[in-house]
Amino acid sequence: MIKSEIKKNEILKYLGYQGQVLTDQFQAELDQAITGLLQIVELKNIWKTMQRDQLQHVLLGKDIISHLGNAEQVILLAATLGQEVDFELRRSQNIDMKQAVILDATASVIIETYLDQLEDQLREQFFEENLFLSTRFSPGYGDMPLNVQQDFLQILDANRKIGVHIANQGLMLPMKSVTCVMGILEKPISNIADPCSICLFRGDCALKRRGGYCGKFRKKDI
Amino acid sequence: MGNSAKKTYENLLAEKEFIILDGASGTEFQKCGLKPGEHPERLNFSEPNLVVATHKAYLEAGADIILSNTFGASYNKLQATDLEPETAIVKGIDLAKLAIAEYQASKGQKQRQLLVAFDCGPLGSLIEPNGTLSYEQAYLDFSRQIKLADNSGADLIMFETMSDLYELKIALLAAKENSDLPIICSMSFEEDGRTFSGTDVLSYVTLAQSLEADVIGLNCSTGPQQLLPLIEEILQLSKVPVLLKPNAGLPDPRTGLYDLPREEFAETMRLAAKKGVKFLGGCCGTSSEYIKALTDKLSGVKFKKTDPIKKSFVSSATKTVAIGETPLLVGEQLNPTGKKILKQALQEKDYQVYQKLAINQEAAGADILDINCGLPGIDETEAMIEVVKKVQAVTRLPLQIDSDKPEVLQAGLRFANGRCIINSMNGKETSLAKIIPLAKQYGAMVIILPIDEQGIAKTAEQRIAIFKQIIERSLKEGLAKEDLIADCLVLTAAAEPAGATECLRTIKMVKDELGLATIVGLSNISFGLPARRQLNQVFYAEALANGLDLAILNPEHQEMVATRASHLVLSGQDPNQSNYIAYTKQKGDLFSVTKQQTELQKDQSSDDISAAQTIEQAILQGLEKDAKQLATKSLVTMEPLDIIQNLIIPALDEVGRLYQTGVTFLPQLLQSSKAAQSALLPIRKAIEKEISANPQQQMKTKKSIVVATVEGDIHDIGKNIIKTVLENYDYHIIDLGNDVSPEKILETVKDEQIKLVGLSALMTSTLPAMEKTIKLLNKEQPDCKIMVGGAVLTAEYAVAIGADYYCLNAKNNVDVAREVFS
Repeated sequence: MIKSEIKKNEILKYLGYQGQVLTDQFQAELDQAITGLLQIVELKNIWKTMQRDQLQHVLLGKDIISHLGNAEQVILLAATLGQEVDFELRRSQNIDMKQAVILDATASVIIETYLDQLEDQLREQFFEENLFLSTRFSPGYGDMPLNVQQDFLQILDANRKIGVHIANQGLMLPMKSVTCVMGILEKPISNIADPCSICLFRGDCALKRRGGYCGKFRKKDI
Repeated sequence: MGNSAKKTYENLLAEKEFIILDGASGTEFQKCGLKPGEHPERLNFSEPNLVVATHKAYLEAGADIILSNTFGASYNKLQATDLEPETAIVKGIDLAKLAIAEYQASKGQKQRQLLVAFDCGPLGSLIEPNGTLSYEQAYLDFSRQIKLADNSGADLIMFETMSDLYELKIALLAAKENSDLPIICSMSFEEDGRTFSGTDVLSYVTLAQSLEADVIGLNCSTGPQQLLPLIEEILQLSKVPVLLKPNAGLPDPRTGLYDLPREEFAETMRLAAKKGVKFLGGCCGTSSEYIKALTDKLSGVKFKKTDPIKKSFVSSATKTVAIGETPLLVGEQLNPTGKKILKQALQEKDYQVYQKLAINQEAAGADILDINCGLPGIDETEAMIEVVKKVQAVTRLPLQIDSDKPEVLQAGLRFANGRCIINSMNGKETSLAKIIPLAKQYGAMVIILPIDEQGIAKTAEQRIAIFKQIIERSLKEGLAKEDLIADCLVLTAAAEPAGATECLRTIKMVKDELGLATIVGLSNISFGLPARRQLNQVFYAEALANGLDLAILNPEHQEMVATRASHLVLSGQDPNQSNYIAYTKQKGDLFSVTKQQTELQKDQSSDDISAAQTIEQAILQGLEKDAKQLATKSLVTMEPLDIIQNLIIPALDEVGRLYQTGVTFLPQLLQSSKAAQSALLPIRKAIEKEISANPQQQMKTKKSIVVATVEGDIHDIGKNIIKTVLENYDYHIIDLGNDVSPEKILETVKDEQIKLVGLSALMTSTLPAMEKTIKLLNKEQPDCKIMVGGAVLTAEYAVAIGADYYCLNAKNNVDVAREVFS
C-alpha cells in the first residue's frame, strides 16, 4: 500500500473533524502517522469460498440474508494490520495522547483501505468468470451478531494463517483486524440496501446530523 | 517415565541418519469430512479408527515419530466445547500408541524405533499485553497438558506452530518443570523472517536454546523452498538438532488444495537435509504420500553435522544483542535509588512511570534495560513482575533483572520475555548456591561480582582470583563460561583514588586472561564530585579502550552515546565510519555552536517568546515550549498553586468550551493538553521544593480519581484521553490499566478511599463487565461516584446500569470531577 492511497479526509472523519482550521504542523503530523504506520503494518489476509448453506449457523440475522440476495456461494475474508501496530499504539499512548489518537484513526483508515483493495481485487478476479460480488458485510453490521466473528476466524483458520485471534469478549486481536462476508452472484446485485437504513446508529448519527454519511454500515464497535 | 523416554530418544538420534516425522493430520481429516472450524480432537472419540489409520499411513510411509491428535487440546481452546484436555489428550496419545502397536504387529517383527510425540499447539489466545490471556493462565494450561501427556506415556513433547515467543517460553518452562521428556519446539515464521508477533530467528533460537529445548525448528506457514533461508540461519545458530516441517506450498482459497507436488516437496526437503536438518516432516497439505516421497529421497543422503557459532546473546521477543562484541549501553534509569518519582510509583503501584522511562531510555540509545524495584516496605516480587510486564509492553529491549533478593530475580526472569541478564551474583556461598540454579533454570546470563566472604576485592589480581573461583563453580554446576559477565567494579573516585585504575586493570585482565565479557556500573565513579557527567564520559572512554563490553549508565546523557560511537571509529570497529555518520545524522554534533546557542535561547531567554504572550494563549494555541517558559517566568511573581488556579485552569476551561462547541476537535484539545502539561512541569517542581523545604506544612491532599478499562476490554485509548485531560486539572489519577477486574477496582477504591471512579468500555460485549463493576462498587462503596464513557454507551444505558454520570466526551469528565469534589 502506498501513501497516496490513504485518504486524509477519512482519517479526519475518525477524529471528529468538522471543518476546523488545520495547521501545517497538524498536516505534518498526519503525514508522519501515515508514513510511520505504512512502514510497520504487516498486511495479511485469508479468504475462502464456501457454500452458503454450510454457513447457516454463522450467517445470522435478517440483514445478511437480504444483503446476500440469492447468492449460493460466499467468500469469507479476514484481514489484519498485524501486531506491530498494536505495539506502536500502546507505546504512543504512554508518551503522547495526541499522537496516539491520530495513529489510531490512521490505522483504522489503513485497514479499511486494505479491505477496499482486497474487495476490488476479488471483484475483478470473479468478474473474469462472469460472477459478481456483493459488497462486504461484517459481523456487528445491522443485526448480525458480533460473536460470529469467532466462527469466521475458525473456519478460515485465521489464527494459524494470518495470526488473528479472538479474546474472551469477542474482541479481535491484533486490534486492527476485520472479518467479512461477500456473496458471489450470477447477476450484479442491484437492490443493495441504503447502508444508513440498517445501521445501528441510524437514530443518532453525528455525521448525518452534519449532513454527511460514513458510506459504510456502522459497526457496533470501533 | 522421563528417563527411559530420554534414552529411547537418544538411541533413535544415534541410530538414524535422519529422523522422519509425520505429515498433516488436520487437512487429512478434512478430506474425510472434518468440517472447517471443527475441533479435530473430537475425532479421537467419534472416529478413532480414522485417527489410527492416519497414524498408520504415516508409519507405513517411514515416519519414526508420529504426533498425537492433540494439537488443540488445551483447556483454553476446548473450554467452549464439551471436550476437555483430560480425555482428549489421554485418548489422543492412546490412539497414537495403538497405531504403533498395530503397525508393529502387522509387520510381524519389531520395526525401527517408533515414538509418539505429544503434539501441543498454541493456546489460541494472545497473552497479555498483546491479548487478555494471563501468563499464569497460560502456564497452568500448558502444565496441565504436559502432566497428562507425561502420564499417558508420550515419548516426547512437541510444541509446534508457535508464533508468540512469550507463549513458547511459558510452554518450555511448563514442560521443564512438569516432565523430563525431550522437547521439540517449532515456530511458524512468515517469509519475511518474522513470526506474527514479530520474533526473528535469532531471538527464537536464543530463547529456545537457553531453555534447553532438545530440537529447534520451523513448521507450517509456507512451503519448504520459502523456509530454506530461515532454516539455514537456525543451522548456523543451533547447538541442538534442527527440524523442518513445512506445508505443501500454499492453499487455493477456492478449493482448499495445496499447490506443491510431493516430488518437489521431497526434493527441497532433501536439500534441507543436506544442509544439516536432522528432523524432517510435513505440515498442512502434506499426506503419507509426501512422507513416503521424502523417505525415498533421503535414502543414501548423509547427515551433515553443523558447526554453530559460539556467541552469547540476550534477547527480548523481537530484539537480540550479542554480548562481548560491540560495546553495549545498559540503561540505568529504571532504578528507584535516588529517584523520588520511582519510589512514589512503587509505593502507589503506578508503574506507568517505569514505562515512560523505558521508552525514553530506548529512544536515547540503550541496548538493554536494567530493572530494579528495590524499595523498603513494598512487595518487591510483585513489583518486579508488574514492572517487567509493563516495560516489555512498550519497549523492544532485552532486560537485565536487578535485585539482591533471589526470589525477586526469579520473578523477573520468569515473566520477562526472551533471555535476560541476572544482576548479580558474587563469590559468597550464599549467593552462588541460590543464583547459579536460577541462571540454569531460566537460561540467563549472570553478572559476577569480585566479592567474597572477605568482602570487596581491591586489586585487579584479587578480583581475577575471585572470578576464577566463581567460574570454576559455575562450570561445575552446568553453566557455560559464555554465560558469565564480569563486573569489574567501579568504586567512587572521591573515596578511592586508586579505584579507577584498578577497575581499568581488571577490565583488561578479565579480557586477556579469562575471556569473559565485562561490565561496569559507570556513574559510581563520579559520586560526590561536581560536574559528574564529564568525569563519567572520560572514564567511559578509558574503560572502552581497555576492553569494556557493557556499561550501565544513562544513555540520555548523549555524550556517552557519542563516546561509544567515537570509540568504534577509533578502534577500527566501524571501518567505513558508516555507524558514526549515521549516528551524527540522527543525533547531531554535541559541540555544534549553533545548536548549543539555540538550545540556550530556547530554554533561558524569556524575552524571546515567539507567539504566545500569556500562559492562556500558549495553552489555547497548544504551544508547549512557550507554555513552559511562561510558567517558569510566572513563578517569579506568583505562587505555584495560584498559577494553576488562576491561569492554567481557566485556559483549560476555555479549551474545553471550544472543543464542546465544535470550534476545535479532539487532536486540538489534546495538543492544548500537551501545552498545559509542559506548563505544569516547572510548577510541580516548585511545589515539590516547597514541600521538601517545609515538611511540616501539610499540603492540601490531592483529589484522587481511579480510571480503568473494564474486564475483558483492552481498548485503552478512551480511558487514556480522559486521564490526560484530568491530570491537567491537577487531579491525581490512579490508572489501573485495561482488562481490570471489578474486584481490583473495588480494592483500590477501598485502600485509597476514592470518591470517583471512571470506567471505560468500547465494546458491546464488555458492557456486562462494566455493569458488574458498578454493581459491586455501589454495594460495597455506596459513597463512591462512578462515571462511565465509551463509544457504545448511551446516556440511558449508563443510567440503566447504575452509573452516576455518563460522559459523552473528553471534557465531560472534568465537569463531573468538579461536581463530585465540590
